[in-house]
Amino acid sequence: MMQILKKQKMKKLTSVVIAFVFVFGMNACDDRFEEVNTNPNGISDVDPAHLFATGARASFRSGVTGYDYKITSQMAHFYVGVFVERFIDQYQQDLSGGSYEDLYNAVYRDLIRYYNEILLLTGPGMEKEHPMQYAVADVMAVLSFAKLTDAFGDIPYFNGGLGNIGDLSPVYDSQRDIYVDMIERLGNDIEALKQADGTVGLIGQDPIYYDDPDLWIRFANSLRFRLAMRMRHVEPGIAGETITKCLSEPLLTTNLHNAIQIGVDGDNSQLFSPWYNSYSYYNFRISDRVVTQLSTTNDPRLSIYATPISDGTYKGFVNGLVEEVFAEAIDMEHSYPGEYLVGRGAPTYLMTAAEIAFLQAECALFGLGGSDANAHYRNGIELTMRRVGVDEDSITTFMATETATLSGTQEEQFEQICTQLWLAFAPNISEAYSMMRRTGYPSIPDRDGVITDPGDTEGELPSRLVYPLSEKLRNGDNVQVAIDNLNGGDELKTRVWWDVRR
Amino acid sequence: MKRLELFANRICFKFFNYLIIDLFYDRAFNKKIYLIMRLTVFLILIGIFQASAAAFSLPSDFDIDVKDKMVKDVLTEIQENTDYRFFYSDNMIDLDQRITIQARNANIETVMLDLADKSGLSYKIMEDNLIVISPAKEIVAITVTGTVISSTDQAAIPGVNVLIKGTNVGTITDVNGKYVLEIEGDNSILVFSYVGYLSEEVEVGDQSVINVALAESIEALQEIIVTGLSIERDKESLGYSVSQLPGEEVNQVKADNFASALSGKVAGLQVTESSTGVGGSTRIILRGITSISGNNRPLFVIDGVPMLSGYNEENDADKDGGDALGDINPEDIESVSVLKGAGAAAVYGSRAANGVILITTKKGAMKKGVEVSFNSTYLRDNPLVLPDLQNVYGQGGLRGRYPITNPNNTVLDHPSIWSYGPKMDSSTVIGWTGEDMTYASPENQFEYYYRTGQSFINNLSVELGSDNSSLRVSLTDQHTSGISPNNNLSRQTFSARGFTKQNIFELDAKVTYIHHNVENRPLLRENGGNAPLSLSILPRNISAQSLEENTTDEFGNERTWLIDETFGNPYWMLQNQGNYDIKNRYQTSFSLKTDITKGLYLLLRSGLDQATVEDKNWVNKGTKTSSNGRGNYSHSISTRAEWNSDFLLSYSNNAGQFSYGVSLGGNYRVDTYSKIDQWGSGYQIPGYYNISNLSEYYTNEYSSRYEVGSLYALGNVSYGDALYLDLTYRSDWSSSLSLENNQFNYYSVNLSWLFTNTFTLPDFFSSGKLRGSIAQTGNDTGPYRLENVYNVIQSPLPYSMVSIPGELKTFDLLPEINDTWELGTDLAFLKNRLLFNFTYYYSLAKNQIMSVPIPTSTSYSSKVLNSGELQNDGIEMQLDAVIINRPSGFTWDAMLIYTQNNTLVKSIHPDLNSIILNSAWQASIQAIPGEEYGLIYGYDWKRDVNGNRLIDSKGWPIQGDSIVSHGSINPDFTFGFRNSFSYKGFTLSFLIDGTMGAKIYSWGKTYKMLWGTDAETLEGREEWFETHDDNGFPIPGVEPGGYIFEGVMEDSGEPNTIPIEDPAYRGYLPYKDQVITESVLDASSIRIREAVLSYTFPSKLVSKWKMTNLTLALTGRNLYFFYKPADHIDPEAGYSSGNTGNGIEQSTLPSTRSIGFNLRVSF
Repeated sequence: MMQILKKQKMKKLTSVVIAFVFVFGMNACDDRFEEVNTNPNGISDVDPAHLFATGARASFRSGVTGYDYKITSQMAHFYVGVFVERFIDQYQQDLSGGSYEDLYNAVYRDLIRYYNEILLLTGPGMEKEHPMQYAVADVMAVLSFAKLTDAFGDIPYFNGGLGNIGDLSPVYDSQRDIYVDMIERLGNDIEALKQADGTVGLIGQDPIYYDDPDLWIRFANSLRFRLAMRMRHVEPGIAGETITKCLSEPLLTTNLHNAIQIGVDGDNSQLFSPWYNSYSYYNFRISDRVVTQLSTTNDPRLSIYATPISDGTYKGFVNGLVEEVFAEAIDMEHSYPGEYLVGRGAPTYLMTAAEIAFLQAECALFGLGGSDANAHYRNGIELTMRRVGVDEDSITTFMATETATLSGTQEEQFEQICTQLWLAFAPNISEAYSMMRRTGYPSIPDRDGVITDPGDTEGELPSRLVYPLSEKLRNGDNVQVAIDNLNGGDELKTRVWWDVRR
Repeated sequence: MKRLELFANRICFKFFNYLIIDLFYDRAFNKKIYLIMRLTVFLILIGIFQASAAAFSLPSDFDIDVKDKMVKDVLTEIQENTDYRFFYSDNMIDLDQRITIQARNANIETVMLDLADKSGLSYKIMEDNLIVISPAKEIVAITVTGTVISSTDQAAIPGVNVLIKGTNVGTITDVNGKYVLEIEGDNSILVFSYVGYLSEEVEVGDQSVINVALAESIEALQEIIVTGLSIERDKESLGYSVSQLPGEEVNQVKADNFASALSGKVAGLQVTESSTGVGGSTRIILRGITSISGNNRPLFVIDGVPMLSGYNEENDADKDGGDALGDINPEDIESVSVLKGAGAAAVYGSRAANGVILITTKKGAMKKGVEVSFNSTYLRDNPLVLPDLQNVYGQGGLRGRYPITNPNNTVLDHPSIWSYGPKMDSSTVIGWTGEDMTYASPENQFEYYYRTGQSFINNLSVELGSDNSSLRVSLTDQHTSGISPNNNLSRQTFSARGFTKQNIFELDAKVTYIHHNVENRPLLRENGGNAPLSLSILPRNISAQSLEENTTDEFGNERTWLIDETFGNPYWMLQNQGNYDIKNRYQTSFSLKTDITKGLYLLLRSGLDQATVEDKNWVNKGTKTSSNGRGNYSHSISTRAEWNSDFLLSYSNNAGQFSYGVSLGGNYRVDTYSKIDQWGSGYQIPGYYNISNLSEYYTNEYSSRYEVGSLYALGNVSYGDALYLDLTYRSDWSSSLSLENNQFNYYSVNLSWLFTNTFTLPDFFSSGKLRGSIAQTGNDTGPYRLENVYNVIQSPLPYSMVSIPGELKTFDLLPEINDTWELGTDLAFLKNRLLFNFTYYYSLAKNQIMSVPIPTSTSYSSKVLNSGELQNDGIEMQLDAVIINRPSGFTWDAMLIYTQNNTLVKSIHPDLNSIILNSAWQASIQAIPGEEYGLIYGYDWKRDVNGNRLIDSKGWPIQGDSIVSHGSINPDFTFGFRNSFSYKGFTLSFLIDGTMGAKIYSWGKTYKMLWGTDAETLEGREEWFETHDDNGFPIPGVEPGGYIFEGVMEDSGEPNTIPIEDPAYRGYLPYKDQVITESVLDASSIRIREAVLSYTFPSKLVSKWKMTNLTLALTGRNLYFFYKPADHIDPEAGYSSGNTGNGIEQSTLPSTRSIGFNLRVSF
């Protein structure tokens, strides 16, 4: 009896065990597992317009803060860093904190990641095909790549930013090929935008031109104009044709056409100017170059670009001081960059009508198209002054000074144009730095090693940034090819392809 | 058996008498016989009771008057008139001889002496009025009694085997450690033996009372070990290496984190305490790093239920949020089993790659009664190592000048805030507050800032038991204040465990509740709130007191002495920056075991471990270092749970020389996590830390779920107690991997040969074993690593913005596989007084799952990939010895462990040259193929072929051409050396542990050199000031002096003789050139990790006080360094317990020396 009971008990237990195993029955788990491993913390389907809003915001913000604010502001002798960023001002090649990497990271990760994703989703024959979204994202991608290639030279362009489709070691493309392609892309984008219906474009997700295809055409064409001007000394053929085309299409002509984002002087850091957000207290002073330029010409922008010291005057800091001189200087009072440049409500620009006016003045001056260089020049100054908030009386006064009229030799007039353009670029100073390299104006004397530190360039204004260490670590073979193609190695003083005029 | 013989005798000679005796005396008699006898005899007895009733009431002094009577009659008479009873064998003794005895009011001793004298017999008066009569000249059956106690704590030991040597005659001690044994024959030797104690032999001689103190034996080969799935096994049968520690090892000297108490005690285990404040985490690595960038902490299993033990589960970047190991209450631990090798851990499959640590908690004893234990600890903590700062020169940047000349411009920037100024001469200068200040060195700012940390830990446990059930309830309350002024911890642990055995069922249920509240965990790394960092660079003439008195400026904002916003005023921070975290953790488990038939049982078990953590951090408005002075705030609540259910069906049997066992089991695991987070900045009303007070705020929620099913089979077979073979096999199905790849199998084969049971070896060789094991384990991955998703950005803007994460996923991930083998031996000599074991192991971890950093030019930052191989090999040795063990109770035990492990990066992803594991400033810890794991990389100086530093024409060293290795963060070897002396209740034991050959990058040192506060910067300053004028220019005609960088001139190869032109260049040049050489320090150390002096009151004494145990102890941790080449820091002062957190020091809190008292009382 006991035996039978035990056997029955065994059977029961065995079946319990088998049932238990069956619950684990692993094939039955498959569907469940798939469901369990579906990530509830994100979305798998997206409207590309929502990606555009993210990328476009970043083009005004993280895309510019590292490069424009910390590096080119000092290269263009606009600001002087007095803390870690000082190494940049000292023309040092190996930077603590790897600041030269900032632009690389910002362009690829914050900008191209989004624009390329939109291009992949909305391109011809793709899942979410959309010509206007495609064209607008393409213009922004070109703007982003242009900034990057201007800083470094050759970069991964055709295969760059495509990690999501498996290219984990992108090859580097020559800057010339990149420029030629960018100009072609912008041409195609302008044609596509001419066909676009703004009402179904970016569905309210356009922080730049609010779904207006006409403004996008002006912007794309102005960008093409900027690029053509930049390559005109080294590729005059393509540049000339392109400039002619650009001048025949709509350009940014008024301050209403500016691609601008204005910081909000509220309490939300997402709305602040990116300059303010990245503005480390007391880390920068306004450059002595700026103060000297503005004060010697009685320029009303002085009180806008700089803050007065306690005696009410303005005192700029000299760029690139050697340590001993610096140590004395730092204990004294100097002007900080003005509220217009670094305050919470400071604006950020992708491009302004003033720049186009000055470029038109240059075209007229050198016979590349259009006429009346002086009119364009004066228009550029006025556009700038109105934009930065100079009152009309002061503008009138300034426009009457000799500074506001072109005079002298062609080269002297060119220097005048470049100097005013230099002032007009603030606060987006990276374009000023590119212009200085292209034109040689405003000219920066070589550093002497006594008062100013010659750094790693023998005192010469750096001509490019060195490739990021991370790229050398992770994409070494490809970056080596690019370095071999550089005329002078991966150095600050090696010039990029279009930098031939200085 | 002895008792039965006696019984037969008694039946023969004194039947009735015996029965009376037995009923009142021999309760230990075999129950069944006793019962039958009681029934049958009871009726017969009644009459006799009545007859002899009078005799029982007689006084012990009595009258006797017998003349010429036979001895047996005399005895009968005494027996009738007193309550003494006689015991003799009348075929051996001449009871018929006649004697005369007369006495009045005599006591029994006198009478018996007289009787013995006259009859020539001898006698012995035993307990319970029994008198044994024997022939005088013959071998006497004597009765020996005594008590057996433990020499360590003087407590009685029940159940000790007392055996007459050479026979199988013996007995065991009762609950009070007492025994009674009849011995026939002189010259007998008694052998006292008990598991866990060294056997003791005592010659009986003429002693009738033999009390013995047994010394605890060190880990013996016959030990019962808790192994995988909590199956208990004989240690000798195991083919892999397991270390088991008793609970006292982890609860005697209290460490802030339970895991820290394992340091130096287990070969192969590397434990590093982080000095990150009270409630911080501990880095714990078993047999080296096996996952390049994943989790490397062993799996912790408590009573068979895995515990969430992820590193820094509530950690954010700036503070150490502690880990789960800190929640384990050492007071509740019965034993800790460390399953080092994969063979031991393979049954845990995909979680076993890092080894497994099994914790068995206490459960009450199954005996009638109540036992109450109280344990109280008080500890005091003080900084162990403080930075070595210079006290000669004060504030100043270049040219050795004091910078401040203008009362309106006192808050300065680099380099004027360095301590490269003039000699502090007690003159009056304008101080940083704008007021006059004496230019002199104040008291040590660290001593001013830190306080003495204190801990009160009290534990009360109650055990209730019956014959088949037990219940244990334990309550622990801990209050700790750290050395950082507002850093406090309060922790309460409640644990209840019940066990019952009914029929064929065993039921075991447990619940543990842990509550902790930690206030103001110190901020680490380069953070304005990191007080030790700010204090380490404070100009030498500025006092901490002046910072304390000037925390706030006229606008209510933070006031500091410098512009650089990286550093805050530590006293402002104490008032305006803070955090707390509250954890509620529940651990419950329930298991049911059924013995189905002989040898076959089924175990069903389910256990849940759930922790909810509320974490709040705030930095007030006006704090310079936070969000441009707007302050910030975050508050989150997260819950993590792991639920495991498993079954195990197990059968074992013998067949001749073979015995075997087979088990089949399965486990289902569900991991869930959810977190709601809110954060923001911009306080409307300063000092009110609530989300509603913020002008900018965000929220987020996150949840995840992850399930794994497993089935496993275990088999073991042994032959003749000499050969043991173990096999395990496990399959895991994981939800985190794709359906095509989600099943994985793991196995182990373990062989053990007890060769001393096969061959007969010389006597000194007690036992010996050879063992070997081959196994495969794994390491799976977390959920949601297969497919990319988009995230929605919370924004005040009128756009809907979606972000793309920077980490690319991989659909066809495989789990990490770790192939290992090990060989070892366990040897015992001199009756187990000397034990030695040795293990060599090798492991190769493949398919490393990692988020591989990819080129920025891909637009993404990383991709989750399987790639790379990591190889570990090493040796572990342990030597245990009982050096002295005197019968007087003096013992000296020693233990020495030695661990050596090498981790080699065999390969990483083919597209990568290296993986940066961790970095600080320009130093990075990298994994590079073909190199050791964890090398510190950074620039060195440029050197010639002989290694001499090259110096340029200015006397400056030159930056090297590329980054190079500066050594490994992993030690060459570690050791632990424990000595324990005990004598009559006193025990002194101390543990020395050593870590040799590791390197650490000290970012704090780079800082102190750059800022000129480091004592090392003194070199050459005196000479510089002597040869320069007040403005810092060389005095004409005087050869300038100053610090000379050692090295040879780049041009000539001659030794450098050019002093640097400014003292500040000493620290500035390495900083500017990003050279880390001077800040890579030797992290070796040999220290007294633990010391205990305890006294256990003798059991006789404490039983008078109605106690069963009373022990007082003086304890110490981190007492003293015998060897420490690195100045400034305790090389264990890493900032985190991550994989490479021990390789970087970032001016966090110092480690502490802790001294305290401990009281243990049991009733």
